[in-house]
Amino acid sequence: MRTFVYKRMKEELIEPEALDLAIKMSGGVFREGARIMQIAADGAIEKERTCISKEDVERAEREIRSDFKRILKSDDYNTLNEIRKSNDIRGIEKIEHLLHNLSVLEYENEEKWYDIHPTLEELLKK
Amino acid sequence: MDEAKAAFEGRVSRLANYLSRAYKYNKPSILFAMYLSEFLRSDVENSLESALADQGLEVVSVDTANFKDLPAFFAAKNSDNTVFFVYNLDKGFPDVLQYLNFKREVLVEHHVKAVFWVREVELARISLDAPDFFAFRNRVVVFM
Repeated sequence: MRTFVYKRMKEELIEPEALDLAIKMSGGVFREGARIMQIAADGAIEKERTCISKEDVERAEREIRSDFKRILKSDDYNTLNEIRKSNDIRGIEKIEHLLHNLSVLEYENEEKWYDIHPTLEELLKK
Repeated sequence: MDEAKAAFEGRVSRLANYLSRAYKYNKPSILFAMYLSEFLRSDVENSLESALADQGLEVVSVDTANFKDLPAFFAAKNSDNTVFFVYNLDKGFPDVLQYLNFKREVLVEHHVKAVFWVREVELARISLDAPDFFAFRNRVVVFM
C-alpha cells in the first residue's frame, strides 16, 4: 500500500505517521486507500498546507465512518459486531450487502476470513 | 454571521472547490449532496450554481424521471466545463441504478463532474442497489 501511494505522490507530501494511519484505515483495499488519500489531500488543500498531516487522515476516517452510518441498518450493527469478534460469517445472505458496501472486508490466507472496515472499529466500540 | 450560515456557506464552498479542482486537473468528480428539505436544496443549488459560474463552469440539469441511462446522457452532453446536477433519482429507480452500476466506467472515462441531489433514503438505496457505482463516489456532502 505504501508503494501504491508513493507511485502516485511524492513522499514529502505526506507525514509518515499520517501515511501509517491511512494504510491502517484502508484495510488493505486499494480503492479505500485512494479514497482516504483523496479526502486527506482535500483537507490539506483547504487548510492551505503543503503536506498531508495525521489530522487530515483522521478527518478522512471520520468522513468514511459517517458515510457508513448513513447506509447501515440497525440489524447490520449486530452482524458487524459478530464478524469483528469471530472474523467469520454465519450466513452469506446476512452479509452480501455488507461485502458490497465494504463495511465487511474479505481476506484470504489458507482459508477465507473476514473483518469489519477499520473505520468502523470506533463506532462499534461504543 | 451565525454558525448555521457559516456551516452552509462552508459546505457549498467545499462542493464548488471539489468541482473546480476536477475541472482544473481534468478529473471526474462524483459527488452526492444530501439534503433534508426541498427549500434547503434550492438554496444550496442557487449558491453552488453561482459559485460554479464564477469559475467558468456551466450547470446542466438532468431529471432521471426523463433520462434513465445517465452514463449515456453524460457521455453525449459532457464538455470540459460541464457540471451535471442530477435530480429525482428515486423516480428512475431501479433502472437508473442499473445503468449507473453497469456503466460507471463511462463517468470516469469522460471525466464527468456530477452532483447527485439525494435524500438519505435514496443514498441508502444507491449503496445497496448500485454498490460499485457508489464506491466510485468522491464525496458525500450533507446539508441538514
